[in-house]
Amino acid sequence: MNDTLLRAQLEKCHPEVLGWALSLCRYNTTEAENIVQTAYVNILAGKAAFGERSSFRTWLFGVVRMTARELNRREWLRRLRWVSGLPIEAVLDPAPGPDELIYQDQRVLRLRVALIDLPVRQREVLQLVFYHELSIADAAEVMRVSLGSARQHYERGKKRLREKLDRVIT
Amino acid sequence: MTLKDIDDELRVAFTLLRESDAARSKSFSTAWFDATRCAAALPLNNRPKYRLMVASAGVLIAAVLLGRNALMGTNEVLGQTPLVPLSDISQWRAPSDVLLATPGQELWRDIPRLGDSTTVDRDDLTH
Repeated sequence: MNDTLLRAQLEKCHPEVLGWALSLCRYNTTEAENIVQTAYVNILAGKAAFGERSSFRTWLFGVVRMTARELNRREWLRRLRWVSGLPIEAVLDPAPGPDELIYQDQRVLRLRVALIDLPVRQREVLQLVFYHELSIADAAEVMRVSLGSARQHYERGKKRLREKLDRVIT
Repeated sequence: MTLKDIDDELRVAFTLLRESDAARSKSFSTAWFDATRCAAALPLNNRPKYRLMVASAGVLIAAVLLGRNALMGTNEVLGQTPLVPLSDISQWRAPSDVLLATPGQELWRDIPRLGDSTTVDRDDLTH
Protein backbone atom coordinates (compact mmCIF):
# COMPACT_ATOMS: atom_id res chain seq x y z
CA MET A 1 0.00 0.00 0.00
CA ASN A 2 1.51 3.36 -1.00
CA ASP A 3 1.76 6.38 1.31
CA THR A 4 -1.07 8.38 -0.29
CA LEU A 5 -3.51 5.48 -0.05
CA LEU A 6 -2.39 4.71 3.49
CA ARG A 7 -2.94 8.31 4.53
CA ALA A 8 -6.37 8.41 2.92
CA GLN A 9 -7.42 5.21 4.70
CA LEU A 10 -6.12 6.47 8.03
CA GLU A 11 -7.91 9.77 7.59
CA LYS A 12 -11.16 7.94 6.91
CA CYS A 13 -10.79 5.81 10.04
CA HIS A 14 -9.41 8.57 12.28
CA PRO A 15 -12.56 9.47 14.30
CA GLU A 16 -13.25 5.80 14.95
CA VAL A 17 -9.63 5.16 15.89
CA LEU A 18 -9.83 7.91 18.47
CA GLY A 19 -13.04 6.41 19.86
CA TRP A 20 -11.33 3.03 20.12
CA ALA A 21 -8.29 4.59 21.79
CA LEU A 22 -10.58 6.37 24.29
CA SER A 23 -12.14 3.08 25.30
CA LEU A 24 -8.68 1.53 25.72
CA CYS A 25 -7.56 4.19 28.18
CA ARG A 26 -10.77 4.61 30.17
CA TYR A 27 -11.87 7.73 28.29
CA ASN A 28 -8.90 9.94 29.05
CA THR A 29 -8.69 12.26 26.02
CA THR A 30 -5.02 13.21 26.40
CA GLU A 31 -3.98 9.60 26.76
CA ALA A 32 -6.16 8.56 23.80
CA GLU A 33 -4.58 11.21 21.57
CA ASN A 34 -1.17 10.00 22.65
CA ILE A 35 -2.10 6.41 21.77
CA VAL A 36 -3.36 7.42 18.33
CA GLN A 37 -0.28 9.50 17.60
CA THR A 38 2.07 6.71 18.74
CA ALA A 39 0.17 4.22 16.58
CA TYR A 40 0.63 6.52 13.57
CA VAL A 41 4.34 6.87 14.41
CA ASN A 42 4.64 3.07 14.55
CA ILE A 43 2.99 2.82 11.14
CA LEU A 44 5.17 5.58 9.64
CA ALA A 45 8.35 4.05 11.09
CA GLY A 46 7.44 0.66 9.60
CA LYS A 47 6.95 -1.08 12.95
CA ALA A 48 3.40 -1.96 11.92
CA ALA A 49 2.73 -2.79 8.29
CA PHE A 50 -0.59 -3.71 6.70
CA GLY A 51 -0.24 -7.25 5.36
CA GLU A 52 -3.73 -7.39 3.83
CA ARG A 53 -4.54 -10.50 5.83
CA SER A 54 -7.62 -8.77 7.24
CA SER A 55 -9.55 -5.60 6.49
CA PHE A 56 -7.70 -2.31 6.96
CA ARG A 57 -9.95 -1.30 9.86
CA THR A 58 -9.42 -4.56 11.72
CA TRP A 59 -5.66 -4.25 11.28
CA LEU A 60 -5.65 -0.62 12.39
CA PHE A 61 -7.69 -1.37 15.51
CA GLY A 62 -5.22 -4.15 16.31
CA VAL A 63 -2.29 -1.74 15.95
CA VAL A 64 -3.98 0.82 18.20
CA ARG A 65 -4.72 -1.86 20.79
CA MET A 66 -1.13 -3.09 20.84
CA THR A 67 0.15 0.50 21.05
CA ALA A 68 -2.16 1.22 23.99
CA ARG A 69 -0.92 -1.88 25.79
CA GLU A 70 2.69 -0.95 25.15
CA LEU A 71 2.18 2.60 26.43
CA ASN A 72 0.27 1.32 29.43
CA ARG A 73 3.09 -1.07 30.28
CA ARG A 74 5.69 1.66 29.93
CA GLU A 75 3.66 4.03 32.09
CA TRP A 76 3.16 1.32 34.69
CA LEU A 77 6.90 0.63 34.86
CA ARG A 78 7.69 4.34 34.97
CA ARG A 79 5.33 4.88 37.87
CA LEU A 80 6.61 1.85 39.73
CA ARG A 81 10.08 3.28 39.47
CA TRP A 82 9.42 6.95 40.18
CA VAL A 83 6.22 7.27 42.15
CA SER A 84 6.84 5.58 45.46
CA GLY A 85 4.06 4.94 47.93
CA LEU A 86 1.30 5.07 45.31
CA PRO A 87 -1.21 2.21 45.65
CA ILE A 88 -0.99 -0.24 42.79
CA GLU A 89 -4.70 0.19 41.95
CA ALA A 90 -4.14 3.87 41.28
CA VAL A 91 -1.41 3.05 38.80
CA LEU A 92 -3.38 0.41 36.94
CA ASP A 93 -6.77 2.00 37.05
CA PRO A 94 -6.64 5.77 36.57
CA ALA A 95 -10.18 7.10 36.52
CA PRO A 96 -11.03 10.12 34.35
CA GLY A 97 -11.12 13.43 36.19
CA PRO A 98 -14.44 15.19 36.85
CA ASP A 99 -13.51 18.06 34.53
CA GLU A 100 -13.36 15.57 31.68
CA LEU A 101 -16.74 14.14 32.38
CA ILE A 102 -18.70 17.23 33.36
CA TYR A 103 -19.62 18.41 29.88
CA GLN A 104 -20.82 15.11 28.64
CA ASP A 105 -24.36 14.20 28.05
CA GLN A 106 -25.85 12.38 31.03
CA ARG A 107 -26.68 9.32 28.99
CA VAL A 108 -23.19 9.18 27.57
CA LEU A 109 -21.76 9.70 31.03
CA ARG A 110 -23.90 6.86 32.34
CA LEU A 111 -22.61 4.54 29.63
CA ARG A 112 -19.02 5.57 30.19
CA VAL A 113 -19.24 4.95 33.93
CA ALA A 114 -20.80 1.53 33.32
CA LEU A 115 -18.21 0.65 30.68
CA ILE A 116 -15.27 1.65 32.87
CA ASP A 117 -16.56 -0.78 35.47
CA LEU A 118 -16.59 -3.73 33.05
CA PRO A 119 -13.70 -6.19 32.73
CA VAL A 120 -11.30 -5.18 29.94
CA ARG A 121 -12.17 -7.96 27.48
CA GLN A 122 -15.91 -7.41 27.84
CA ARG A 123 -15.50 -3.68 27.39
CA GLU A 124 -13.34 -4.20 24.30
CA VAL A 125 -15.72 -6.59 22.58
CA LEU A 126 -18.76 -4.42 23.28
CA GLN A 127 -16.96 -1.33 22.04
CA LEU A 128 -15.89 -3.07 18.84
CA VAL A 129 -19.31 -4.56 18.12
CA PHE A 130 -21.65 -1.74 19.14
CA TYR A 131 -19.51 1.36 18.64
CA HIS A 132 -17.46 0.32 15.61
CA GLU A 133 -20.03 -2.12 14.24
CA LEU A 134 -17.53 -4.90 13.71
CA SER A 135 -18.63 -8.53 13.62
CA ILE A 136 -17.73 -10.68 16.63
CA ALA A 137 -15.25 -12.56 14.41
CA ASP A 138 -13.47 -9.31 13.50
CA ALA A 139 -13.55 -8.22 17.13
CA ALA A 140 -11.92 -11.53 18.08
CA GLU A 141 -9.18 -10.86 15.53
CA VAL A 142 -8.54 -7.37 16.89
CA MET A 143 -8.47 -8.70 20.45
CA ARG A 144 -6.38 -11.73 19.45
CA VAL A 145 -8.70 -14.20 21.11
CA SER A 146 -10.65 -17.14 19.69
CA LEU A 147 -14.12 -16.60 18.28
CA GLY A 148 -15.65 -18.68 21.07
CA SER A 149 -13.92 -16.63 23.70
CA ALA A 150 -15.03 -13.36 22.06
CA ARG A 151 -18.63 -14.61 21.95
CA GLN A 152 -18.50 -15.46 25.61
CA HIS A 153 -17.10 -12.03 26.52
CA TYR A 154 -19.75 -10.44 24.33
CA GLU A 155 -22.67 -12.24 25.97
CA ARG A 156 -21.41 -11.76 29.51
CA GLY A 157 -20.46 -8.14 28.79
CA LYS A 158 -23.89 -7.29 27.43
CA LYS A 159 -25.61 -8.78 30.44
CA ARG A 160 -23.29 -7.07 32.85
CA LEU A 161 -23.47 -3.71 31.09
CA ARG A 162 -27.27 -3.81 31.22
CA GLU A 163 -27.17 -4.48 34.95
CA LYS A 164 -24.66 -1.72 35.51
CA LEU A 165 -26.69 0.78 33.49
CA ASP A 166 -29.73 -0.01 35.63
CA ARG A 167 -27.67 0.42 38.78
CA VAL A 168 -26.30 3.77 37.58
CA ILE A 169 -29.85 5.04 36.98
CA THR A 170 -31.05 4.01 40.43
CA MET B 1 -37.03 -6.87 28.20
CA THR B 2 -35.94 -9.14 25.33
CA LEU B 3 -32.38 -9.63 24.07
CA LYS B 4 -33.25 -7.60 20.98
CA ASP B 5 -34.45 -4.73 23.14
CA ILE B 6 -31.18 -4.81 25.08
CA ASP B 7 -29.22 -4.80 21.81
CA ASP B 8 -31.21 -1.85 20.46
CA GLU B 9 -30.82 0.09 23.66
CA LEU B 10 -27.08 -0.49 23.73
CA ARG B 11 -26.80 0.45 20.07
CA VAL B 12 -28.50 3.79 20.72
CA ALA B 13 -26.32 4.44 23.74
CA PHE B 14 -23.16 3.65 21.79
CA THR B 15 -24.27 5.91 18.93
CA LEU B 16 -24.53 8.78 21.40
CA LEU B 17 -21.10 7.88 22.73
CA ARG B 18 -19.67 7.92 19.20
CA GLU B 19 -21.14 11.34 18.52
CA SER B 20 -19.75 12.65 21.78
CA ASP B 21 -16.28 11.30 20.95
CA ALA B 22 -16.37 12.76 17.45
CA ALA B 23 -16.96 16.20 18.95
CA ARG B 24 -13.84 15.84 21.08
CA SER B 25 -11.53 14.38 18.47
CA LYS B 26 -8.39 16.12 17.35
CA SER B 27 -8.32 16.61 13.58
CA PHE B 28 -6.54 14.01 11.51
CA SER B 29 -4.17 16.50 9.87
CA THR B 30 -2.90 17.68 13.28
CA ALA B 31 -2.40 14.13 14.54
CA TRP B 32 -0.76 13.09 11.28
CA PHE B 33 1.56 16.10 11.25
CA ASP B 34 2.66 15.41 14.83
CA ALA B 35 3.19 11.73 14.05
CA THR B 36 5.27 12.55 10.95
CA ARG B 37 7.45 14.87 13.00
CA CYS B 38 7.91 12.24 15.73
CA ALA B 39 8.71 9.50 13.20
CA ALA B 40 11.35 11.73 11.60
CA ALA B 41 12.90 12.40 15.02
CA LEU B 42 12.97 8.70 15.90
CA PRO B 43 16.54 7.55 16.65
CA LEU B 44 18.02 5.64 13.72
CA ASN B 45 18.67 2.47 15.72
CA ASN B 46 14.99 2.35 16.73
CA ARG B 47 13.80 1.77 13.16
CA PRO B 48 13.10 -1.73 11.92
CA LYS B 49 14.70 -1.00 8.53
CA TYR B 50 17.93 0.05 10.22
CA ARG B 51 17.94 -3.07 12.42
CA LEU B 52 17.32 -5.25 9.38
CA MET B 53 20.21 -3.56 7.53
CA VAL B 54 22.61 -4.10 10.45
CA ALA B 55 21.58 -7.76 10.78
CA SER B 56 21.99 -8.31 7.01
CA ALA B 57 25.44 -6.69 7.06
CA GLY B 58 26.46 -9.00 9.93
CA VAL B 59 25.26 -12.09 8.06
CA LEU B 60 27.06 -10.94 4.90
CA ILE B 61 30.36 -10.39 6.71
CA ALA B 62 30.12 -13.81 8.39
CA ALA B 63 29.34 -15.45 5.03
CA VAL B 64 32.33 -13.75 3.36
CA LEU B 65 34.71 -14.84 6.14
CA LEU B 66 33.44 -18.42 6.12
CA GLY B 67 33.58 -18.56 2.31
CA ARG B 68 37.15 -17.27 2.32
CA ASN B 69 38.20 -19.95 4.79
CA ALA B 70 36.49 -22.68 2.81
CA LEU B 71 38.30 -21.56 -0.36
CA MET B 72 41.67 -21.50 1.38
CA GLY B 73 41.09 -25.02 2.69
CA THR B 74 42.72 -24.41 6.02
CA ASN B 75 41.47 -24.94 9.51
CA GLU B 76 42.86 -21.69 10.77
CA VAL B 77 40.92 -19.87 13.42
CA LEU B 78 39.32 -16.67 12.13
CA GLY B 79 41.57 -13.67 12.68
CA GLN B 80 44.64 -15.70 13.63
CA THR B 81 47.58 -16.41 11.36
CA PRO B 82 49.32 -19.73 12.17
CA LEU B 83 53.06 -19.44 12.92
CA VAL B 84 54.00 -22.23 10.51
CA PRO B 85 51.85 -23.54 7.67
CA LEU B 86 50.61 -27.02 8.54
CA SER B 87 51.92 -28.63 5.32
CA ASP B 88 55.54 -27.50 6.02
CA ILE B 89 55.86 -28.88 9.53
CA SER B 90 57.40 -32.23 8.42
CA GLN B 91 60.16 -30.41 6.56
CA TRP B 92 60.85 -27.85 9.22
CA ARG B 93 64.28 -27.84 10.86
CA ALA B 94 65.34 -25.79 13.82
CA PRO B 95 68.02 -23.20 12.97
CA SER B 96 70.20 -24.55 15.80
CA ASP B 97 70.24 -28.09 14.37
CA VAL B 98 73.76 -27.50 12.94
CA LEU B 99 75.15 -27.29 16.46
CA LEU B 100 74.13 -30.88 17.10
CA ALA B 101 75.86 -32.21 14.00
CA THR B 102 78.69 -34.64 14.86
CA PRO B 103 81.20 -36.37 12.60
CA GLY B 104 80.01 -39.77 11.44
CA GLN B 105 76.41 -39.10 12.35
CA GLU B 106 75.32 -40.74 9.12
CA LEU B 107 76.36 -44.09 10.62
CA TRP B 108 73.88 -43.67 13.43
CA ARG B 109 71.11 -42.89 11.05
CA ASP B 110 71.75 -45.89 8.78
CA ILE B 111 70.26 -49.22 9.60
CA PRO B 112 72.35 -52.07 8.16
CA ARG B 113 70.35 -54.60 6.18
CA LEU B 114 70.57 -58.28 7.12
CA GLY B 115 72.78 -60.32 4.74
CA ASP B 116 74.75 -57.36 3.57
CA SER B 117 77.29 -57.49 6.36
CA THR B 118 80.60 -59.23 5.54
CA THR B 119 83.06 -60.88 7.84
CA VAL B 120 86.68 -59.83 7.63
CA ASP B 121 89.24 -62.64 7.57
CA ARG B 122 92.59 -62.39 9.32
CA ASP B 123 94.22 -63.39 6.00
CA ASP B 124 92.69 -60.45 4.20
CA LEU B 125 94.11 -58.12 6.77
CA THR B 126 97.63 -59.50 6.36
CA HIS B 127 97.53 -59.11 2.56
